[in-house]
Amino acid sequence: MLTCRELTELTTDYLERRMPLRDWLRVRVHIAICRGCRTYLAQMKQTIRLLGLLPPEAPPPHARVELLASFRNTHSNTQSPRDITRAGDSATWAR
Amino acid sequence: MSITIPALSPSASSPRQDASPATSAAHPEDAALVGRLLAGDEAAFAGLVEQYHGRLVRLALAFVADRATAEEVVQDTWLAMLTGLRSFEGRSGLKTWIFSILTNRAKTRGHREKSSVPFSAFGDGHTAHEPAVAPARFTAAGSWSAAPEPWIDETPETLLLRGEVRTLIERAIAGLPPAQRAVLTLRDVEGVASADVCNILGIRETNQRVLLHRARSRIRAALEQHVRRDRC
Ligand SMILES: [Zn+2]
Repeated sequence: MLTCRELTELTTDYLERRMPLRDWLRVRVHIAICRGCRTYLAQMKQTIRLLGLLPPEAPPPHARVELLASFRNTHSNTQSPRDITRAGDSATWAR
Repeated sequence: MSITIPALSPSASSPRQDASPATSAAHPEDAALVGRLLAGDEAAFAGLVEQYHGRLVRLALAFVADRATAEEVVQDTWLAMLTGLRSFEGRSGLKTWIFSILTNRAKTRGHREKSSVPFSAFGDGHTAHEPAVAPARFTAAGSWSAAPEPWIDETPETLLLRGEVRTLIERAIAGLPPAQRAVLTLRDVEGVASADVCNILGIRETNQRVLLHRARSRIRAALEQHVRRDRC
């Protein structure tokens, strides 16, 4: 039977479902009878969820201002009248 | 005695389902957004900056040594993105495309600067074996000698509400080796599909999985240590 130690090395393959059916079944059997590994797997899932909830930082105010200036700049420099005839017409781009 | 089998239906075993990869399904909302950007819609661009700037800085920090450099790389990324907007084909989605631009810029920058983290780590992540759990936690036969205790009323949300947990996770991420940090940030923090992560970072799928496994294991261990200390 799979040991607990081995199971802790298979958690990502298991969660990603990148393992042969046989191994997948061995993991299922193990967690059905082993409380420690059930807890371990639950913690792994909690960890993943937690990571997905980490909020990003807001952009610093100076970056906002500078980027908007570059945007105006890029736009007025590179846009030839022929490229975009009507502002906001995304169909022009999508062709 | 009854044994509770946790709900582990196949659909529940992967927290964020990867979208089917190869379908070159258009991303209609991306196309609309790109259209607005090309038309010079400032509000659209401001919204994009609001949405992505902090996330780009977070990813850049996996490649360069300090925040100031990361901010510069992100500025470069925005400019490169605006310049390349016309050539965006929508095959990969705007998010993946922006992260790719950032990664290329950040890697180049990382190579150029002596102060930056070495990125040879990406060649092949199979260095010395790094166990997911400290060997001391197991008996000689490989069973738990010190099994993990459930984080009972600690749902991710309640944990995260506590600012110190957020700091702890952020610090744990910052302490990861560069390649692990980049993979974890893209996969688990940003929710990018594994095929896209492989493309963005230029690594093989198996390698990606090994890096992800090690990174996740480290973050779990850091959290466990914290919850435990809290209980004593
Ligand atoms: Zn076990």
